[in-house]
Amino acid sequence: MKKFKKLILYFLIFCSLFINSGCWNYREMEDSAIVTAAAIDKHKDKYVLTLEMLRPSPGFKESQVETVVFSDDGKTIFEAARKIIRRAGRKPYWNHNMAIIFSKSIAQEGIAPALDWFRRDSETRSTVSVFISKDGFAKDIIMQSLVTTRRIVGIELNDTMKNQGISLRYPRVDLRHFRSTISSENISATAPFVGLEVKHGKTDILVSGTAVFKGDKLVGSLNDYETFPYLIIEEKVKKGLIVAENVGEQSSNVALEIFNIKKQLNFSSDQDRYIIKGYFNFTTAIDEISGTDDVIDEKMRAALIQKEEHEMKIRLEEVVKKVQTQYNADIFGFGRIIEMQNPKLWKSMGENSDAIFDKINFQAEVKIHIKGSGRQSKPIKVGK
Amino acid sequence: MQDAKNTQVSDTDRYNNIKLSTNLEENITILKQIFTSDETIIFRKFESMNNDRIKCCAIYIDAMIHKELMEQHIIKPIILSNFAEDNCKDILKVIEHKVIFSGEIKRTGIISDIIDGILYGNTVLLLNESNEVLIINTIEWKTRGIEEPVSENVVRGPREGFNESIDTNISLIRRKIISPDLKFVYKQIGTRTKTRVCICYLEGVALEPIIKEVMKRLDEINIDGILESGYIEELIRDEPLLPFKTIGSTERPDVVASKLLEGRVAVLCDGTPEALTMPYILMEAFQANEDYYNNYIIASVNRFFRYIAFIITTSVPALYVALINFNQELIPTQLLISISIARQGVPFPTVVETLLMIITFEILREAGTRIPKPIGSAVSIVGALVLGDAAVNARIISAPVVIVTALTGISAFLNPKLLAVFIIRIIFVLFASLLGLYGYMFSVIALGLVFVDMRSFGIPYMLNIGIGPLTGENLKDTAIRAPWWLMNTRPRIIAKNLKRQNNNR
Repeated sequence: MKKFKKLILYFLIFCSLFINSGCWNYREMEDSAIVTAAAIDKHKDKYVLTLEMLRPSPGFKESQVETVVFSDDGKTIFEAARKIIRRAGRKPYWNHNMAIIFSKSIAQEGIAPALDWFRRDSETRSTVSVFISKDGFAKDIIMQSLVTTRRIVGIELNDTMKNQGISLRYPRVDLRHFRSTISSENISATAPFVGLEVKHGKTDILVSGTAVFKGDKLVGSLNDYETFPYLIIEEKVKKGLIVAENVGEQSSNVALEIFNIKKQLNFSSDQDRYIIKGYFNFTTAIDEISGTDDVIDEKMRAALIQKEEHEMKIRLEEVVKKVQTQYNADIFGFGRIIEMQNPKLWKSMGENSDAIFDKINFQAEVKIHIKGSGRQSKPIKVGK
Repeated sequence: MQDAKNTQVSDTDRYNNIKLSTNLEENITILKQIFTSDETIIFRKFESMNNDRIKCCAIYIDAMIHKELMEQHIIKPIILSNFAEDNCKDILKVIEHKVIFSGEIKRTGIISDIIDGILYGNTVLLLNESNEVLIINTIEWKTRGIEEPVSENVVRGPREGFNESIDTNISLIRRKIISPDLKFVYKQIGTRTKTRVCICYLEGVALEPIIKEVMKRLDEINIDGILESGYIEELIRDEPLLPFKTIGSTERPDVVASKLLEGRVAVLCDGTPEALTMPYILMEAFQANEDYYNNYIIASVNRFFRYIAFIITTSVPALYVALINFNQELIPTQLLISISIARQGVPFPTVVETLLMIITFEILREAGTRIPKPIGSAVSIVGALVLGDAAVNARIISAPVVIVTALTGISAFLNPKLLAVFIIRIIFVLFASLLGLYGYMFSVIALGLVFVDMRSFGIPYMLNIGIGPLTGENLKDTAIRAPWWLMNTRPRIIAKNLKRQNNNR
């Protein structure tokens, strides 16, 4: 009997292995449809969820991936996701979703309700990139994958995000970061815009520019030229490109490749005046001289640097000014700087911390250092 | 006979109540009765030319003796000898001492010894007027030459391997370690086969308790036959229920010598080229003799590959099942897509698929070892083409599983002594199929606990206790192969007299 009891005990311990071990379900990969991109629109008071999913089609020798697009509506996004099974036949598998596109109208109304499910559900991924559709419906972008069967919009958008650090014409925002900046007191959220552009008879998916949020509402935008100085102030930009126009006598254009930017933002307050001084130290190299001016020459170089330092300063200050005056959304994280450098002041602001942003006087000081000129020391000489 | 457990009982002991008489003819009759219907035994009677009193009979087995030696050095001198002292009392003694030219003569009257002597290939000399006989060593039988062991190849290192003769094997070890401390103790195991077994150790290096334990366990064996050292291994090993080796075996004298120098005990068994070494720890499965002959950096890297291969061969199928069926979010998207494509139209669940392929591979491997060499290529053709390619094309098996199985199979060959990996692999896959990565981790922990709990002749299998803190000294020949000029000590808990070399560097 004692032995028997012991046996039962072992059996129960073994059973608890399966019962108490959290989430476990055996699931074959081909039973669920891999979602690569999702678009959320709003039609009347219902969400319209559009999913781009992969449908592998087995061939005799070689198998291919095709994409399928399904769309359905629901009072909540989760409902729509479940309703899509009626059409797709399989359960959407969210773990490898690479892009969520919210329509502009949802963003303008307030994006928080639409975000909730993506953060709450255990299957969706928080590293997914967030986009705002520039114009029209978000689903139009996903519909592009129907135009050519081999096109996977999710992967295209994901690749665009991977190379954001070189392009620097749109911000890189994932779901976790986006949600936390929306809830944050000391910084406002941004997201990249995505739109369609018809050029030469084909439609490109174009990621360009920045959507500016105040709270969870879309209030404005920065174009891709303005995005670059914004990213320099807000993020740690290490790469990029400055184009100096009309340099020298023949007014050549010169491209300076950025290798490093050292950045320091100092906050100081003087009674009611709040000043943030930004020091930006660019390490660059001349990478293209589009003209015949020998800008590498010491004099010319000094002039180039002076000109560019000034232009960059204006660009930086202008973008801050624009956001301050037009949108009043602290997308630069100035609140965070104040909180770090003068926590007492930040605390004393309390609820009104919102109001401080447009009072800040941002002054940029730019230093450009040219360390080289690529593989050539002279511009191309044109023979007579 | 069964009740006598602690002493080796021979099946010839039952003749021990028969006593030899002083009459030659009677004695011949007795022996002929014992060996009835055994026609290989030859009774050769002869007499001395000069003395009628001396009548002899040589008994031997034709195929097992050196015939010329027997004729020239036993029969000839007795026939030709000139026995002057007619009244000599102990003629047998005279013959033993003054007539026969032989290096090894034993005088006995015990009938079981006589029978054993004949059966072992000695010549037994009966003499009239004597109730004792001479057992003269004339053994000569054919043995295989010393060849390179097929199972343990080396690029650099001695090419000689043991053969089936225990005497040859002992000589091979003796030639490696020329020291009076090298001890050999014979035992006879097997009531019918009477196999000679030799325990071999270095006195002053091997620990006495281990030697005693080996002796004790060997004495406890009571079996009718030992045909291979595997019998002994299984009868004396620790943890008999587990598939992991707790006694090492090798065909190479240099390996045995190095184990002896590290304080281990070796057991040689007649009729098998495999020597057993004990105690045996898990780490030895990852060591190759070539490690010690090659450059230590290369040897350490090779050893590292063997560890990796062990992990791959046990875990890759389980990890594949766990990732594909439970934790798809951990796979890179592109890989997920290509696996997903490959799985389209495959009728079986991934676990079934994986298990099928693992078992198929083991079947192929077994077929490869059992098959006669001339038709061996058929296995690889059937295996590679029919099972691999065709099964994938017919969408019975998905391509990634074939890759996983191939990787698993190849990695298993890096550690040929770890035969149990197949079982570990299957268990890992089953657990992973039940609980995903959690199940895999659970089974890895379980395996770790089993290893940590195991002992081989009192030595912890993982060297997990008894060696003190995990210092560099203890890692020199386990995790890596340290250069010889750094390995100043022997393994800590297996040997005594730890000092190995005087280091002047």
